[in-house]
Amino acid sequence: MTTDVARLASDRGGSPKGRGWFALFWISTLGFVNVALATDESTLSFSRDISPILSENCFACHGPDAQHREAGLRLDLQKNAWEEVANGQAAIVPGDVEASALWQRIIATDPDEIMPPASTHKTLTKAQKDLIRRWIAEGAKYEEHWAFIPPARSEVPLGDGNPIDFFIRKQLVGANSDLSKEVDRETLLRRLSFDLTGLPPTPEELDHFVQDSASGAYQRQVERLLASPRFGEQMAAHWLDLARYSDSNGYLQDVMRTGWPWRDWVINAFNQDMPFDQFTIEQLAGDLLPNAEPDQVLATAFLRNNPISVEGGTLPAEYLNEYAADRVETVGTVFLGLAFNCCRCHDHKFDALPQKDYYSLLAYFNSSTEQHKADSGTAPAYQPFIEIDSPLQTGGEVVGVMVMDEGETPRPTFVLKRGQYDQPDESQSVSRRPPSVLGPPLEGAPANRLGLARWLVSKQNPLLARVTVNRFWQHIFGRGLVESVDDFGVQGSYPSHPALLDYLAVEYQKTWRTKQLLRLMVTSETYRQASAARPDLAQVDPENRLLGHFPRKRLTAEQIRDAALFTSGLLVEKLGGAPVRPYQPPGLWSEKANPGSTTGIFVRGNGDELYRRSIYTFHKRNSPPPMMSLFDAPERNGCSVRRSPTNTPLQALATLNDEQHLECAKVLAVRTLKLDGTPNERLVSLFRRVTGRSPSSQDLAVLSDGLTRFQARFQSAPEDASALLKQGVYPGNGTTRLVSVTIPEDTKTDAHGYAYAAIQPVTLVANTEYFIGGEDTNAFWDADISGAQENAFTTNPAVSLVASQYAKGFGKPTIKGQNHAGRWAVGNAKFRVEPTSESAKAIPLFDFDHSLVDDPQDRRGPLRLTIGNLFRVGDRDIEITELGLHDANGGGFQRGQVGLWAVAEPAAGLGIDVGIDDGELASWMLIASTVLNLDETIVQD
Amino acid sequence: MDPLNDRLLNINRRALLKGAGAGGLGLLGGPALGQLLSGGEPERAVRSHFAPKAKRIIYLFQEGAPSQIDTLDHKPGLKDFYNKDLPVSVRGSQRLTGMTAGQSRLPIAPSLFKFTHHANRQDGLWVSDLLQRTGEMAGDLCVIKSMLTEQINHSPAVTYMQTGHQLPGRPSMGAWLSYGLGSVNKNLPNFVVMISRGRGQMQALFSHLWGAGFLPGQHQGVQFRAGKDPVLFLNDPPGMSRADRRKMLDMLADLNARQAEVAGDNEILARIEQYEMAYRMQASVPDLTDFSDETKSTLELYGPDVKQPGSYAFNCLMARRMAERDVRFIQLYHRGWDHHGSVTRDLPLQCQDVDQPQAALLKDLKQRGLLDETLVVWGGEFGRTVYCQGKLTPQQYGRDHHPRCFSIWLAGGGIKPGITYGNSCDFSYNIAENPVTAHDLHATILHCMGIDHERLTFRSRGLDFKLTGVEAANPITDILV
Repeated sequence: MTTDVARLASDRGGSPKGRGWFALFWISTLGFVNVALATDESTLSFSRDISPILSENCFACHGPDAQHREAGLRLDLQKNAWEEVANGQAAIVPGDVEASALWQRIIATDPDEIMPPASTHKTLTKAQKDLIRRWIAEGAKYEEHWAFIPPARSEVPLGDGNPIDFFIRKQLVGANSDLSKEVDRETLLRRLSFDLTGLPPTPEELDHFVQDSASGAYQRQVERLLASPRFGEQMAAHWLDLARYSDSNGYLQDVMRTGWPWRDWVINAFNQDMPFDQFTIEQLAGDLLPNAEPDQVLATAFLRNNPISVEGGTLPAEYLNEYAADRVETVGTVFLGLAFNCCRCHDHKFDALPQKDYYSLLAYFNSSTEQHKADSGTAPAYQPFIEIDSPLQTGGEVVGVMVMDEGETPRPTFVLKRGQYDQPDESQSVSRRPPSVLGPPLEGAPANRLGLARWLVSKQNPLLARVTVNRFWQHIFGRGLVESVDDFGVQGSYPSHPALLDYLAVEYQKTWRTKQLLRLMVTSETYRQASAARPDLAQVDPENRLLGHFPRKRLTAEQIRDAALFTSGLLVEKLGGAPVRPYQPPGLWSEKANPGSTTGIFVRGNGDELYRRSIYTFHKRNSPPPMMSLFDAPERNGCSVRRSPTNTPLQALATLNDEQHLECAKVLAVRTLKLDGTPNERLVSLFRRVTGRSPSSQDLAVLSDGLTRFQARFQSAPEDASALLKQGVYPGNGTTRLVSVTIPEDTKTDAHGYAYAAIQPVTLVANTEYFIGGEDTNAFWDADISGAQENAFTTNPAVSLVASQYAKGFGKPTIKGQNHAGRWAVGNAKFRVEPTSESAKAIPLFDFDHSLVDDPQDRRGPLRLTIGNLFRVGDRDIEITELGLHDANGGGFQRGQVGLWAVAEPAAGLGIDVGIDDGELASWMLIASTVLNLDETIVQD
Repeated sequence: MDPLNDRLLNINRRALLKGAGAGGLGLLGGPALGQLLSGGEPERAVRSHFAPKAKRIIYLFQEGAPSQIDTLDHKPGLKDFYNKDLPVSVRGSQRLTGMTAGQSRLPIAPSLFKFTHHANRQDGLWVSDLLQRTGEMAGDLCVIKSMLTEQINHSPAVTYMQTGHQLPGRPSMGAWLSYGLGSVNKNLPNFVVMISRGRGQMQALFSHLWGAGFLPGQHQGVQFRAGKDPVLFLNDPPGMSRADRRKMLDMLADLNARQAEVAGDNEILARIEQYEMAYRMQASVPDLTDFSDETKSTLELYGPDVKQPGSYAFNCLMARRMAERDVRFIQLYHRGWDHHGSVTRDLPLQCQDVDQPQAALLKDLKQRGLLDETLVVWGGEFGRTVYCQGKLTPQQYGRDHHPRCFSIWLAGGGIKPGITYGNSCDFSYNIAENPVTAHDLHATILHCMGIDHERLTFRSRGLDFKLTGVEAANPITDILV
C-alpha cells in the first residue's frame, strides 16, 4: 500500500517531523554530504546545533523532569551542567573537552559507562560528537531556547524589494544559487487562486491576467482574491482542523451537534480581516468581554468543540476533567506551539514545562457552568449554550451552540497524580497562570480566560506571533519555516530561516492583520518563482528547505472536490448555513453507529446540498466524509495543525469512481459540448478549464485518440453510454417529493405502536426507485428489522418529534403469497440489492421480499420500510393511501413527519435532454474524468 | 515489459542522465524510482528487530466485552454464592460504572452455562459449551485469564485496546505495524478491517480505531465492507468496460509522465504507480471475495452464514484468504457483546455467531500450514462483572462492565499452544496471578512480529510516541515459543 520506505525508530531521520534543515546537512542519516550553506559554519549556535542533540539523547534522564532524573544531573541548565558532581568531575568543564565527564561518557567503550546507554536505543553520530566536542572546546555556552526569547525585528535593507526575498536569497546565495525565474502567468494565477480562495481561476480570469500588460496586474489579482468571500472559506478550512470542529460529538453516541454558526463566525472573521489578537481573545474569552455581543459569546464555541461523551455509566468528574485537558492541549498547540500533553502526567522531559504548569492552565478552563450528564440523550447542544443564527445569514435558522460561561468562583485545582481525574495531589494546589517559563501573568489583567487571552496576545508572549505566521507560511509554502508547526519546544525543529520568521512575527504583531501578512507572502518573488525542481540544488537541498523553487503542493481534500465542482459548473456558492450531506457510499454511518445516535443513518441531501463547498459537508467524527479522510483530512478528535499529504491507490479509486466526481465529469462534458468549435478546440478548452494551462500537442494527440476510441466504442454499445450517464442526479435535483404528511399530535397508535395519516393516494410505479424519509431523518434510527432490539429510541427536542424507526404505508399489493414464516402475504415490492443504509444483519444484501406485505391480521404492512431506505418497486404498480410512523416510546405521538420521495434517475437519453447523443456525451465524460484525475489537476504547480 | 513501464523507464534513464550531468544524484532517484524499475516489486518485510515468528495477524475483536465468567473463566465454586453479596474485601475500592453504582446490592450471579473440559498441553481447559467448537481447539489456544485494563466505558476501552491510548487520535496497532514493517502484497492493502454484527446490544465503532493517527495516512486500515463494493469506490461505474478503464489509465500515465519530466517531481511517478495499483486492486479484491474456488467442505466448515457477506463467518473465511495473500494485519470486529440486561438470553446467540466460524478459521489455517506463521488474537475491551446488573433470578441475569479481570485467547505464530496463562480470583473479579495489561499484550503481539515495542516509535509534537505508552510494558515471555 505504501510507496514510502517503511522505517523503524532507528532511522527516524526520514520522519516528516525530522530536524530542521541545518541538522539535515550535518547529521542527516540520508547520506547527503555535509554542506554549509548561508549559515556561517564557523559559529556554533547552541539552539540550532547543540540543544537538539542534548534534548534528543540526554534530557529524558538528565532534563527538566525531576522525577525521572538520574544521578541528580541535569544538562538542560548551564549552571547544573557546569557544577561539580559527586565523583569530583564536572559534566562539562568549559573549554576543556578531556576534563568533561560528558565527553568521556560519550566516547566511552565500556557498556556500563557509555552515554547514552544502550537501553535507550540512542546513539550519537560522529557529526554529533564532533559538534559536542567543538562546543565544549569553545566554552560550552548555553543560550535560552530560541523560541522563548521575544522575536526581534530583523534588519532588512532599505528599498522596494520584498523583505521575504531578502532573507530567502541570503541563504540561497550561500549555496551559490538564487531563486528560480518567475513562473508563467497562468500557473501563477492558478497557484494564487487556490491559496487564497481554494478554487482555481476560470479561463476568462486566466485570459484577463495573461493579457493585462499594465503595471500592477498581479497586485490587482491579489487584491481581487483577498477581497473574495471565498477567502474566508479557504482560511476557515485550516482553522477547523486546529479547532477540532465537527458536526457530531464523537465518543460512543456521536450525537449530532449544531455548532455550525461558529464555523460561519470563523469564515466571517477571516473575510472581515479581524485582527488575529481579537480573533484569539474572542474565541478564548468572548463571553468575559465587557458588554459581550452575542457573536463574541458565539466565538467561544472554539473551546467547546471538544468531543463529548454521553455514554451511559460515564462519570462526570472524569469527563469534565477530560474536556478541560483537551482545552489545555488545544490552546497550547494553537496559540503557543507547545505540546502540553506530556506534562499532564509528569514534568515535561524536554521543555521547561513542569506538571504544575499544565494544571495552572487547566484551572482557566475547568470552572465553567458546563455539566456532564451520562445518558443525556440526543440534544444538539448541552448547557451552557446560546441560541443564535449564522453571522453570515441574517434571519437564518436559530440553533443552540455550546459556548463558555464562567461559574461564580474558580474551582480549586490541584496537580493530578499521573493525570488521573480522581487522584488530586492536595499538597500541590495551583492557581491560574501562564506557563512559568514564559514569565508572569499580564499585569492588571484578570485571573481568568480573558486575562490569559490578553497575555497570549501581549508582547510578553514570545510565541503567538511566531507560531501563527509559521502556520500561515505552511499554508502558502507547504511547510513551516519551523517544520514542526505544532512544536516550538526544544524537541521541535530549528527554523530554516530564523531571521525571516522573526521579521514576519514582528511585522504581524503590529496590526495582526492576516490579509496583510498573506499579501506580503504572495507578492514575494519567492512565491512567484517556478516550481520545477532544480537539478543544481538537488544534492545540497533535496528537501527544498532553501526554497530555490516553489514547492509543488498536493491540493487539500476540500480543494480537490471543490475544484471538480467548480470547473464542471456544478458548484453552488452560498456562504454559511447548516451542514449538508452530499453523495457518499451507502451504509458508512449505520454500520458503525450506536443505537440511538442521531447520526445513525446517513440520508443524502438533494439539489443544492449536493454541490456546496466541502467546508459545509456534515462532519461526523466517527465516520468522516470518505473523500476527506482519503485525502488526509484529520478526524478532528483533537487539535491538528498539519495534514501530511499521502499518495495512495484508494485516492485514485475515489477520484475515478466517486459518484460526485463522475457527475462532475459528466457535467463538464455537457459544458464542453455546448461550446462551438472543433473537437480539438473543445479538448483544449476542457483541459485548460481544469488544469489552468493549454495542452501540448502531444497531450492533445493522446486525448484526441482516446476520444475517437470511446466514440467508436459507444457507437457500438449505446446502452453502456446510457448507463454511464446515470452517475449523479444531474439534470434532476435528486428526488421528487411525492407526498409528505404530518402525523398530528396525539394520534392514536395501533397495537404495534404505529400512527397513521391518510394521504392523497399516490401510485408507486413499477420498477422505480423510491425513498422514504422524515423531515428530520436524524431523529430516526434503524434497529434490527426483526424487532429483536428496539431499545434505543430517542426524541429530538429541537423538532419535538417522537423518534421513529419505521414508516409505513398502506396500499394494494397485487400479488399475494406466503412468506417463509407463513404469516404474511408477500407483495410485489423488493428492496434493491443495496439499500442506502442498514447493516448486513438487518437486511441481507440480497433481494428482499419482506418489504411489501399485507397482513390482514394486524395491518402490519404493507410498506414497512425503515426510514432512510431506498427501495425499488417490483413489476407492478402499487397505490399507497396512508403513511404511518412507528411510535417507539409508545407514549402517543406528539408530532411526526414522513414522506415518500421518488428518486429521479436520469433516464436513458440524458444526452437528448441537452441536445447531445448519449454516446458522444459518454465519450466526452470519460475524457473529462481522465483530465480530472491528472496529477496536475490535484496539484498546485 | 509492458509499454507503460517501458516509458517510465525511459523517463527515468533520461532523468538520471540529466542528473548525472549536473554532477549529482538523479532528480528522480529514491524509493519511487526503485519501485518502478523493479516493476512495482513490493517491499519485503523490511526491518524487524529480530526474527519474527508471525508474518501476519488476525485480530478477532469482540466488541462490547464478552462475559469471561460465562465463556473462558470457569468458576464452578460460585454456585454456592448465588444471590449472595459480593464480599467487600473482593470488591475493594473498585469504581463502578454509573449503571450499577446506584444498585442497592451487588448479588453474585454464577454462570448458568455448562462447561466442558477439553484437553490441552497442560491440565486441560474448561470452556463454556456456548463455545464448544472453540473449546475443541484447546490444544492450539493460549488462554490468558488475567487481562486487565484501565478503562471502564466502551469508547475509551476499545480505543485503548486498539491504539494503546484511551483518547482517540493515536495510530492503531495495525497502522503501527504497517508503518514499521511495510507491505508484502502489492495488490492488496496492508491493513484491512472487517465488521460484523451480532444479535446482542450494539455499541458504536469508530473509524479512528483503524486510523493512522499521526502516522502517514497510507497506514490507516482499509475497511472491507459487505456488498458489491468491498473497498470504497472500488467498482468502475456501470457502463464502463475494463478496456475503457485501461485506456483512461494509459492516457493518464502518458500525460502524467510528460508532466513528471517538466516538473521533476517523484510524486508524479508515484501517483502513476498508485493508479496502476488501483487497477490491480480492482481485480485482486473481487478475486478475494469470490468464494467459488473454495471446496464444499471448507464452506461447510465455516457454517451456513459463510455465504452471507458481512457475517462473522464470511469475514473469518475472508481472513484466511487474506492471510494466504499476505495481508499484514487483518482486523475483524464482531459487535454485540454488551450484555447488561440479559447474558442468559443474548450470550448464546452471540456465541452461536462466532463459535463455529472462528474454530473453522483455526482449523483451516492449521491444515494449510498457515497457523504457525499467523498470530490469531481473540478478545474484547474488558470483562463483565460477577455480580448481576438488574434483576437476578435462577434463570436470568445481566452483567456490567468490568475492567479488572477478563479473558482472551491467542493462537498461532510465536505463541505456545495449549496453555493457560495467569489466573483470576475465585470470583473472577481480581487478578490472582500474572496480570497482563493491554500494553503487555501489545508488546507481545509486536514481539511475535519481530518488533521490539520500545523501538517502534514515531516523533510527533516533540515526543517519540509508541504503541505501548510511557509506563513499563513487557512481552509475556512465558507464552512465547
